[in-house]
Amino acid sequence: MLALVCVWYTLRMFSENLALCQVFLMISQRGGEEMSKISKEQVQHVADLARLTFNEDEIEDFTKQMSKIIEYAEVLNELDTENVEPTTHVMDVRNVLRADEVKPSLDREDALKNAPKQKDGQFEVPSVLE
Amino acid sequence: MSFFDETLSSLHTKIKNKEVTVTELTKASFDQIKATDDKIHAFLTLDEERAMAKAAELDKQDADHLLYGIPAGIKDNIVTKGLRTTCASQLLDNFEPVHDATVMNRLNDANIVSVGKLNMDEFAMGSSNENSGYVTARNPWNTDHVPGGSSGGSAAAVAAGQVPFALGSDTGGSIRQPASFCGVVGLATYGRVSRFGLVAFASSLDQIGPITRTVEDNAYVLQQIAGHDPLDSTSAHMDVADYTKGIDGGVEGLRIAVPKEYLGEGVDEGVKARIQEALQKLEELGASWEEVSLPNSKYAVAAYYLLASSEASANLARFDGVRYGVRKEGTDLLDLYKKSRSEGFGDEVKRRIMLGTFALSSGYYDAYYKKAQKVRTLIREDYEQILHSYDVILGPTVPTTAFKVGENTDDPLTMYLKDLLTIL
Repeated sequence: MLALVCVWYTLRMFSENLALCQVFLMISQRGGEEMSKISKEQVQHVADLARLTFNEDEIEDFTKQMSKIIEYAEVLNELDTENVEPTTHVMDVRNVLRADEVKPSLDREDALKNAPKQKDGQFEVPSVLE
Repeated sequence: MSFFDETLSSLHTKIKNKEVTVTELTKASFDQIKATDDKIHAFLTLDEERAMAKAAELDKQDADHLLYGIPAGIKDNIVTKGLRTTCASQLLDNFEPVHDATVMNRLNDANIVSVGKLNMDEFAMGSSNENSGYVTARNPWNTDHVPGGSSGGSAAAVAAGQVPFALGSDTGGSIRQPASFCGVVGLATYGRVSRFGLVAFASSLDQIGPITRTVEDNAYVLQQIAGHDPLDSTSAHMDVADYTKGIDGGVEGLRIAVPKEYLGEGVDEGVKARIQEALQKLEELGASWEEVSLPNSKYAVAAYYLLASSEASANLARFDGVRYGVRKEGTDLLDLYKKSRSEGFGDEVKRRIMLGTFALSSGYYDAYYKKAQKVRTLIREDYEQILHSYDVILGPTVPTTAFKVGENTDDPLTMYLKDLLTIL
């Protein structure tokens, strides 16, 4: 029993330390962010998400420009918005339903008209699976 | 002689009475474009052959609509069937839409003559036209200066007498600001006009509107394009009023609110002076005005750029080099996406996609995107408060007159700050 309690205690200490480590890590990252609101690594990550590629110089430029813009955007933190509802759309939007009837739509030929590459009446892309 | 110093109603009278043919009018439009556009660069694509053929057809019938036979230019982010629509982006250099936007259908119902597609900042992102992926349009009053943006081509074409009216689009001032810079009339229309067929930038803000020489002309064009469209579920379910009916009704008893922030720091003295003159004139004509405040206005630019860029990053995800646009081949599908987008989009578009993707990304969504949406609520409440007690809010459209080409391109943030009055 005692042994079990010890194991539990050790594990608990370990996980608390881990949590504490994470807090320190966050603080040190925050410290880094003070100098530049966003790091080069973050910019690279965002570029990957946005499906964009940049060279070293461009990443450098974006890091500076985005830091400046984001720093400017921090002005919003002056406002207490705790109990404010977000506005996603300025007018009342209602759901639009209609009977499930087949109506004419875009012809296949038209839909493919602007395709950079097509094959057998479909958009053609490089193979995704090996 | 230019026909386009005349109002739409006087042109209509001449067409109706056969004092001028639609062919003559359309030719006059192309003549003026050819004489001036090598300096102004308002147009990206001309549709001369089809326009002249349509004009000849229209001359065989009687004019049954005020816009019958009137030549017009269309901003290049409004899709036109069979006519190249680029959004001034190299990525869409070869894009030929297979359907017309609702506004085009409405204008074609009235038998206008579309002469071509107008220059703009790429994907409507910009305030000077310097972000066009082709060539910077110039201000016809002084070609060293910008025409404004993003609908710079639309405003410049009307100001230069190339067409009697044009359509533009507005997300944070893109109709109103270039109209102001070029001395013409531009109208924002959120909810009033269908956006079906407008290439989406920021959907909670995008709108299509007329750019004209006079307020009356603007009312006539709006009349034809306004109204609910089943293809745009965000278009308002509201009756379309007769917009020219009260146009000569005067301003007696009109209650005008003038937010002090509209005439505050950063607004040129000359601009302030013109507004004071206008207010004095309105008072003489029987209106009254009072100073009011929009206390949250200083947060508008930050909130706008976070929201508009976030929406843009989602909307522009569709440009992947697969279904339309210019494709750059890659080693695999992901590489194809990245190459097509990186080589196709210009710098400002990439900057906004990056900012928007960041603001929407995991860990930052609440701090930036959601925060900006909450701030939008506060700004909206400021406006609602004022409109309880006043009929209109009056102020300058832009803090300055048209600046020089190249003057503000170094720092994106400085350029963004100039949009304060139209973003609000």
